[in-house]
Amino acid sequence: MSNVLLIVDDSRVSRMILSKVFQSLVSDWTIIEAQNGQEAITLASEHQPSLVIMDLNMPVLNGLEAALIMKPQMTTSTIIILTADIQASNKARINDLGIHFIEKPITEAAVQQALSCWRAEHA
Amino acid sequence: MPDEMNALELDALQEIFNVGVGRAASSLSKLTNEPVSMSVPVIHILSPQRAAEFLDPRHDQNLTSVSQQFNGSFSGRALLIFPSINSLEVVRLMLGSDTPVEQLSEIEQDAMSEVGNIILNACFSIIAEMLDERFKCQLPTFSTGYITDILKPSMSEKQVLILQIRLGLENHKIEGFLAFLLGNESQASLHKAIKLFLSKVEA
Repeated sequence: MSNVLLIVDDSRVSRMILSKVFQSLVSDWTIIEAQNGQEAITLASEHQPSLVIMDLNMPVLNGLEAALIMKPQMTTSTIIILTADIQASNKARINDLGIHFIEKPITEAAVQQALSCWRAEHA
Repeated sequence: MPDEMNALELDALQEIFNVGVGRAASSLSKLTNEPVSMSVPVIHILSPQRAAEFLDPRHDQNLTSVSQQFNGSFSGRALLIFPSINSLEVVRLMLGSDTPVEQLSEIEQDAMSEVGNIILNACFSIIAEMLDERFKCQLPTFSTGYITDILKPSMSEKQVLILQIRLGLENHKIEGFLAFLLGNESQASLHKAIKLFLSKVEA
């Protein structure tokens, strides 16, 4: 069974870019998408993704709130917040909660960084 | 706009500016040592009069603005706006609480221009990078007045594209906003740039 990546972002363009860059780096993953934190929680419990890459500022339920709900239920998943809100205080708060933090824009380097986080946790 | 943007193009535009403003918020946070909240960006295409109503519905606030003209394949004006009552507080946060009020007033214009310059440039640099563009930015201009005074240079346009994001200094209940104003001609050029950006995403 292939690994599952869950992409969570309210921007369709961001989901498209992330999916495209990710597939250019690893081709054997299944990619699923959600538009907000609430949808992400539902999809995550159905598909048990290995990696969740999630935006922070989203309607309905933001990325951090969703990550805090998902984390205890998905102990083998790597959860990453990928956001444009790159303030140091924000980054520290997210890291303190044991969640990875990566800065937007979505580039190959950012996605490589996400994969490195996942590999480090699954080595 | 002569050729209207579709939902995906508007989504791309919002996301590009969202990333740009994320950099701007980070710069503002570093300058003031305060956490900064930012809203989801909203885009409107309006007459300048309606734009003024949208930005300050009551039309009665005295505002302080730093604006910067940018020129590239599309051109416009970027504005950082705070209620005047809060602008001294922003300067005080930047310089430290022990700076005397008289001195703050003296350097307010200079300090706010610098705040604007840093924030707006943080925003431009990332937008330019994402759109593969180059912008030439003029020096920041400081002004105070009602929203109609601040928008005066854009009042001759038929329609302006406004992209607005609220920035809040959470511990001080200070809320300002960033707005980008583009005239008709530049809206078409921006549309072209967004189409090109998306063609690379979809390729």
